[in-house]
Amino acid sequence: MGTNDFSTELLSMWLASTGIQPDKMRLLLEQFGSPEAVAEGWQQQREPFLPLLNERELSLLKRRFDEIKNSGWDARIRQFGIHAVTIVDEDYPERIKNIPAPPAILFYQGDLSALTGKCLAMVGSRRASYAGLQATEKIACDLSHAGVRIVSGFAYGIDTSAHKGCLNGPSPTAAVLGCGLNFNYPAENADLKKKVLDRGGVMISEYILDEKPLGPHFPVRNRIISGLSDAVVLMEAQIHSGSMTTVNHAAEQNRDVFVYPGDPQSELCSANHLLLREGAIYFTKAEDILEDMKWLDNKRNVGQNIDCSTAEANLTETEKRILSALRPGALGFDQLVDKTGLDAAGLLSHLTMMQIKGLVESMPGKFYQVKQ
Amino acid sequence: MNEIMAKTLSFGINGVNGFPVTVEVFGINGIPGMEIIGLPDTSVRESKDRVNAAIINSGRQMQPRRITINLAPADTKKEGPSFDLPIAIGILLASGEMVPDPGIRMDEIAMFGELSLDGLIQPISGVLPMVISAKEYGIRKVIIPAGNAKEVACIEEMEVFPAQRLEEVILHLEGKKTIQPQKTISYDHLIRGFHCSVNMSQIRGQQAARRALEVAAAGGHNLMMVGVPGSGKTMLARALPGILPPLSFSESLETTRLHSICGRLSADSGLMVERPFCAPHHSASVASLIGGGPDATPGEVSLAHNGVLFLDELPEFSRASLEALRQPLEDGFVTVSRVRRQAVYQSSFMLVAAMNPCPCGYFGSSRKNCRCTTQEIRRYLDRISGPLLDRIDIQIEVDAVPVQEIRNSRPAESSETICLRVTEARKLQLNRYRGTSIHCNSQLDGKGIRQYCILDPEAEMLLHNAVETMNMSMRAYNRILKVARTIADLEKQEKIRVHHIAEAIQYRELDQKYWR
Repeated sequence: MGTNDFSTELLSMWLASTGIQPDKMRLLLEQFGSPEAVAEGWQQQREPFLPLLNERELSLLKRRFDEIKNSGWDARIRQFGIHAVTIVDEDYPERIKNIPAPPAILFYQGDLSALTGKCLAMVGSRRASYAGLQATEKIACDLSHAGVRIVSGFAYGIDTSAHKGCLNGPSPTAAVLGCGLNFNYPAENADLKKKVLDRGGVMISEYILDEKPLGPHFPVRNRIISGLSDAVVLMEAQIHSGSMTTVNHAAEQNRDVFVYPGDPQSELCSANHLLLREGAIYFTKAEDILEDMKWLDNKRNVGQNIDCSTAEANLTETEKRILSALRPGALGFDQLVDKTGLDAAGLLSHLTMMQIKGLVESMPGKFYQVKQ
Repeated sequence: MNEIMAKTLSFGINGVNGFPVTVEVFGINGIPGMEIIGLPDTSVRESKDRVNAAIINSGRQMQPRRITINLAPADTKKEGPSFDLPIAIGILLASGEMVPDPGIRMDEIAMFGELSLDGLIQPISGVLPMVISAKEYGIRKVIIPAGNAKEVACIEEMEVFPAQRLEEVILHLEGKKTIQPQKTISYDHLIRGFHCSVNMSQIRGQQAARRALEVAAAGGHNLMMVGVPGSGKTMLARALPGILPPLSFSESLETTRLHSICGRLSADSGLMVERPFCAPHHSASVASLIGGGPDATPGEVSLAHNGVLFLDELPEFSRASLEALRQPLEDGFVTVSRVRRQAVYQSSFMLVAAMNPCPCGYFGSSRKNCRCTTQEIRRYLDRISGPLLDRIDIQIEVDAVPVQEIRNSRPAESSETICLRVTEARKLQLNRYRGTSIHCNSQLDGKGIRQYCILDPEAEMLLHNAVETMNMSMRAYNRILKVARTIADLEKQEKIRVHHIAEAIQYRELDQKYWR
C-alpha cells in the first residue's frame, strides 16, 4: 500500500503521532513541501531523511505508519470534519509562525479564516468569581462588536465566558484544545462547540485523534493560544494557575499582556495584582484595549446595541416607565416598585414580558437591569 | 373473704388512635406486693409505687395483700403513666376502701391521669385522641387531669370531669362531692379570639416575596426562598401560617391529635387554632423528620400536618432526609413501620424551604461580595435533587431590605386582609375540584392541568415563547401552569390570561439563574 492512497489529514496525523520535535518536523516539511511529499520521501529513503532523523525516530515512523494504515482513522477524520494545516501551507496562521517552537502541524474543525484579522487571547481560571465571569462576557462581547476575534482555551470558567461573550457579538471565536478534536471536552460545552462552529469559528488542536485531555497538554497548548493572538488579556487567575503559563508564553512571544484588575481582596485574582505590579497593562473596559492596540479607527462599533432602539418603538407606556427607571443602573425589586408605582403582581408580569423581548435581564439577588 | 376483684376503664394509644383498656385488679392474702401484667412498659410498671404513695397521701388505706393488675387486652403494649389513676381507683374499689355511688357504673366512665406521690393528678400526653376514641366507643363520661381540660373542651356530647387530685376523684365516685364537668367551648369561639403570631404588616419591603407567599398560600404551593443571610427568609416563612385559611374544626382535631401524642401541647393550650409551623434544625435525622423511634412516634412532617414545614438551610440537610420528604409531600401521609409498631400518620403540609445562594451566602448580594467560585456554587446547589425541586412550584429570590427602606416604607398590608383573598381563592378551588380527590391547585397532575388550566390563545403564545427564549424545561412548564391557575383564581377568573402566565414565569427564575 503506497502513501499516496492516504489523505493529507491522515498523513499529518501520522507525522504528528510520532512526537518528533516541532523544529525537526518543520525542517522536514520545509525540505519536502507537504506531508504527502514527506511520506513519499520516507518510503523511498530519500535524502535528507537519514541524516536528519535518528534510528529511533525512523523506527517510530515505521511503527506508527503500520498502526495507522488499518486504523479506520480516515473515516473518523471525515466524520468529525477534521482538517490539517502545516507550517508550510499558505493558510497556516501567520502570527504563530514567529513564536519559539511553533507547532509544525495543526488540526482544526471549522473555518481557519477566523484567525485572520484582530485576535485577542482571553484567559483566566476555571475557578472564577461570578463578577469575573460577568466582566469577561461583557468585555468579550464589546470586543466582538469592535471586530476582534477572541481566542481562548474552551475550559470551564473564564474561557467559556470569553467564547460566549464573543459569540454574543458578531465576530467568530477560536478555541484551542488540549486533547484530540474528537473529544467533547469539557462535556458541558458540547452546545458551545456547536455554536462556535456554526458561527464561523474554529476549534484547534495540535493533538491527534483519541489523545486524552491530560494535565501536561494544557500548559503546552497555552503557547498556541497566545501565539495565535496579537495580545493576551488575563481576566482572573491565581498565582499558581495555568493562565500564568499563557502569560509567560506571551512574554516569550513578545505579546502585550492586559490584566483586568479584579477584586484585590479575593484570592481568585492574586495573579492579576502581581502582574499589574510587575507592569502589565491595566484595563477596565474593551475601549482601553482597543485604544492601546491602536484599533480604535472606527469609533462607532463599541458597546452598541442596535436591537434596543428598534424594539423600543413598540413598547407600552408601562414598559417605557420601567425601562426609564432602570436606565441609571440596576435596581432591586422593591426599589422598582417604588419608582414605577406598580403593584408587585403587575410589575412581575411586565418584567417577564420585557425579559422575553430582550429588554431587561434579571440578575442574582432579585435585581433587574437594562439588557446590554 | 380473701379474694377481692374490681375493674376500671381506661384507654391506651396506638398511632393516632386510642383503644380501650380494662384495668383488672385482683387481690389475695399472701406476701404483700403488687404486680402489673398485660405488656406494660417501664413507666406503667413503676406506677405501683406512685399509686401506693398517692393512695396513702389521699387519706386512704393500702391493705397488705398480694395484688395482680392486668391491663386487658393483654397482647397490646401499654405505655405511659396515664394508667396510674384507673389503677389507683381499681385498688381502692377492690379493697373496699371506696364504695361507688350506686348511680355510677364503672364500665361507663373512662379515666386517665398520672399520679404524683402526694396524690396530685398530672397532665399527660395524648388526652385528645383518647377522648375521641372513648367517644367512638360509646363512652360519655371521662375523668382527665385538670391540666388537659382545655385540650378536649371543644368535644361535644361528652361529660369531661377535670380533676386536680386523686381525692377529688374518689369523692366524686362515692357521690359525696361531684366534680364540675368542663364547659364545652365552641370551636368558632376559640378561633374568633385568634391572632397569628407573625403578621404580614410587620414585614417591610419584600414586595415580590409577599406576593409569592400570597400565591403560594392561595394554591397550596410549596415554596423555595433563596437569599443572602439576614434577608428575612425565616420571618417571611413564619408569616405564612397567618395568611392560610383558618383551620377548620376537623383539621384542628387532626393536628391537635398529632401534637397531643407527642406531648407538644402545653397545659393551657386547647385545640390548636393556629396552623402549626415546624422548623426542624438541619441536623435532623430521617426518623425525626418522618417519624420513627422504637414506638413509631410521629415526625416533623406530621406535626406540620395542615400547616407549614420550614426547612432553613436546605442544602445542609442530609441527602437521605431530603429524599425521605418526597413521599409524604406526594401522598399527604406517612407509614412509619418499626419492629414493635406500625402507624399511619397524616402529613399534608406546605413545604417552605430557604437557602443561601452559595456557600459564603453573598452571591448576588448588593452589599457584600461573594467569595465563591462557580464550581463551589454548583456543588452547593447540587445537594438538592431534581425530584425534590420538582415538588416545589414557586421559587423566589429574597434580598436584604436596606435600613432606610425599613424606615421609610409605607405600612404594609396585614395578614387578615391577605387571608381573606386567599380564603376566597381556596373556596373557588374547592368548588372546582368537588368530587375529585384533590382540593387545591398544587395537587393537579398532568391530566388535571390539561383539564383545568385553560389558557387564552395569547397566553398560550407567551408561554411557548418563554419556554424557548428562557430555556425552560418541561417540568417548569407544568409548574408555571399550576401557579398561573392560582393567580387567575386570586382574580376570580376562569381562564388563564397573559398577565397570569407572565407573573407565574417570574416564580421559576431560579431555574435559569441557579439550576440551569
